[in-house]
Amino acid sequence: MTSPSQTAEAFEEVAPGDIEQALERQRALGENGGGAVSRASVANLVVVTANRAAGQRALAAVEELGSRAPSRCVVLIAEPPEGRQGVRSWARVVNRRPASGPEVVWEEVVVQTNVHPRHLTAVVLPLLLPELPVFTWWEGTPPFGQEVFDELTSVTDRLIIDSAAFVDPVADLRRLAAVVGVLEPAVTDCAWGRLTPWRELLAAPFGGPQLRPALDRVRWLRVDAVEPTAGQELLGWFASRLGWELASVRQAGDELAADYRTPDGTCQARVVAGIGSSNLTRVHLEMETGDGPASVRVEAPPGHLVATVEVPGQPTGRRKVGRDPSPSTGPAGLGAELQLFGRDRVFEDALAQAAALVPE
Amino acid sequence: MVENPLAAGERVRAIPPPTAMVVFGGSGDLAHRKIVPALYNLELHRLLPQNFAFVGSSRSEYSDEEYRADMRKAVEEFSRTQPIQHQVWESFASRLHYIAGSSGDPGTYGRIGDLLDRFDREHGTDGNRLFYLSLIPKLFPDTIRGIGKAGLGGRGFDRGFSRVVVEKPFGHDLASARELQDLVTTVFPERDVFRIDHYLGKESVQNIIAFRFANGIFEPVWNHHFVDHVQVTVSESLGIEHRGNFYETAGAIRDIFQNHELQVLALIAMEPPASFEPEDVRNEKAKVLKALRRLEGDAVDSGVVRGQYGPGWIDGKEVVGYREEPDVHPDSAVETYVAAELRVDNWRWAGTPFYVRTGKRLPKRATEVVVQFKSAPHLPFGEAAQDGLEPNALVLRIQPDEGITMRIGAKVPGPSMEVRSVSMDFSYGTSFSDDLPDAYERLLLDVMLGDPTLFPRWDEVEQAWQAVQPILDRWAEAPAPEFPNYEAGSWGPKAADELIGRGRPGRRWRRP
Repeated sequence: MTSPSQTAEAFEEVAPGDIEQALERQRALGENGGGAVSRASVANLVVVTANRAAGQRALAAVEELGSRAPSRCVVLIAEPPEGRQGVRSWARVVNRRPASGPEVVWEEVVVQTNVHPRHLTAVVLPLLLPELPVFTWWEGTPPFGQEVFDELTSVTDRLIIDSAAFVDPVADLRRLAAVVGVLEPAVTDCAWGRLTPWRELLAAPFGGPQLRPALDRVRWLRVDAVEPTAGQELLGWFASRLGWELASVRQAGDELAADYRTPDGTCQARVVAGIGSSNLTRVHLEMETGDGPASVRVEAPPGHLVATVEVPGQPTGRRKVGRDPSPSTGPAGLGAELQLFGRDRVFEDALAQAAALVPE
Repeated sequence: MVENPLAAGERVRAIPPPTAMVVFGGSGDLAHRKIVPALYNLELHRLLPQNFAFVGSSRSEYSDEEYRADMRKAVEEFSRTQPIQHQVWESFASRLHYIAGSSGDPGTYGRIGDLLDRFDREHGTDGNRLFYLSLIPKLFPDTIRGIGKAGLGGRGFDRGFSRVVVEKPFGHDLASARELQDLVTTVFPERDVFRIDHYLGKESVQNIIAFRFANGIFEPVWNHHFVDHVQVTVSESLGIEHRGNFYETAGAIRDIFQNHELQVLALIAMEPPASFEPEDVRNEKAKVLKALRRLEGDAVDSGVVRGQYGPGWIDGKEVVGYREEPDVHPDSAVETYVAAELRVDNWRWAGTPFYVRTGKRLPKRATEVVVQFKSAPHLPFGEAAQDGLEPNALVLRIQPDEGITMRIGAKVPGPSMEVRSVSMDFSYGTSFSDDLPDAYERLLLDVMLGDPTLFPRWDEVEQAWQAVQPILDRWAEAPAPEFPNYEAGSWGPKAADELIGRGRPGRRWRRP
């Protein structure tokens, strides 16, 4: 078995109108001149960045996706429309041969432009592969409500953001929730995607008849969050899934305290800012059962997750499971977001509840 | 029970309910190579239930610690994810236990029952039990009866679910399959019997259904009007490895043909199911297997080819013939190769042959289905211009290089109208993602979830045996074949080429 290898033509600077030809030429060269590579294309990814440095980081993140890289990635460096307006573009084909299995080929186009926002779709649209869905990853905080945002989301099927990278995560979460309700494309947050292992472990103990009734009687919940939006979205998830109604919320230093009315009583919830190498460090919930209090706890020591379940009358159940490895660049979870199509209703409901925690 | 609202949404994968698993044959080859590594990977990827415990049982003597150490070595060698994650392994291994015993000893089942009760108390397994029979077939009867007599599971067990998993082959022939079915269903109702055919757990096999039924353009031509013939190939370059004892009682027809190949044939030939509910899919597969024409007498002689490999070269190394393999009789008449022309007698496939072959020590490992279409009704290009043009073919590559190949005609660039065949390869992008579960992981998860879609139902198995039994009968009364009749490293006996070539000039096996 050979070790994986990756070859790429160098980026070629070409006029936007010549990009397709340049890519075709590079594809042919990639096959040693043997003819056109047959492509099984799946998706376009447009990455919207503010400057070259961000654009290069985005490229590195896409390349790290390897086999999950979209068929064509367009990195748009959208600079403010100052001075003389123009467009520069570069293109290349990347061939990746993994240790086993067939080759993967994807195409990268970088466009640096300071045209007026209303012309951006005209710049981007011709560069997209036809008939394939368009994912748009907006690096940093999207300028919600501004023309550039409206323009580019109008040609998008799915908008990917990472609320952990928002300039003002908490306030911007509210703005995000406001647009999710009205935007045409589906919206997904990498921070929400990174919560999936936590949600799975928190849901698992309630799959059996023993603890399921206790889910209706959660009395106390604490989330220790390194990423503030992750903490809020997780709390929003509990509230939306379990039918909780927010009664009061206050922020005191590092702690967000929220009290809920639940179908069967009340629940006190806390999101506490923490330090750590994971998006959350701990989630702890306590609930009432007929035999006394029970608890579920998930913690994140380095490299794995630990789920502990304590039920009256039974030995404590503790298990350690894997944690998805983080990429070295780009938002963790980007690859997973590119596998999903359609609206994520569970996320949207959780986001609405999370946004309610943010003062206006 | 009310659904778990936290489990809603497509991102949160279905987690099984609390489960206690017993593997009979727990120190055997399959437990080492597949079962425990699969469970470890399920745990690593957070797919096992929070409440899970495991006991392996065999005649070998192990303490719990020795068993865990042995299984750790197995996982280090056979896990698809490497390196083993120490913390996760330690946590998982703490729930692995071992009970030495024999299938005929009631005491074994008593001890297992006590341990299962302990699992319920200490691990919250809620009375749910899964019994995996990773045993040689002759031990099945005692084991099934032992489970039933000790009240560990089966009919009348009401503490939780109880399911039994049986490895293929299910029976040795039609009569023994029926006997085994009678025995198993005395203890377990059919809905709790899961027969493993691990091919059905492969992503690429499930892709056959996705490909056929997600795309409107293929179904209209997926029938005898447009299809000249279908080929199903399971080719292995390996020999029998150290399975001489087993293989001498099985042969290629029982090892691969009766189960894997006929299941794949069923997926290719079935009608579209109305839904992906398990019974809807299984009903359609069973109909195909029932419609398979039974070959009798002379029809077996002319329609089925068997072979046995002699010495040769594989992958640059010289290899011995089957009869020189360990634990194989020097005059063995067991076949290591089978090729057959089958017919599905229904409206869709009337007149369309299905050529099905499998063999050991063929030049390369490949499992694929070829749907060979008929030629275009009229080619206007002139003889010379279409010399290199072959009819369309669609190849579903199942392993090792999962994907689809389509053969189409295209113009040769140049001043004249010349057309040639071009092969276009589409790979799904699944073949090199290291995050894909292996077939056993998928299947074990489905058993715990109680989803039988990927497990052959009894009527499918019975119909497959009914199709194969006349072949076995004919071979039993025929004179001993002249073996070996193909060299290791070749594509099998010449007679197999004659079999496919006979139907229509130009028909030949596709070289994978």
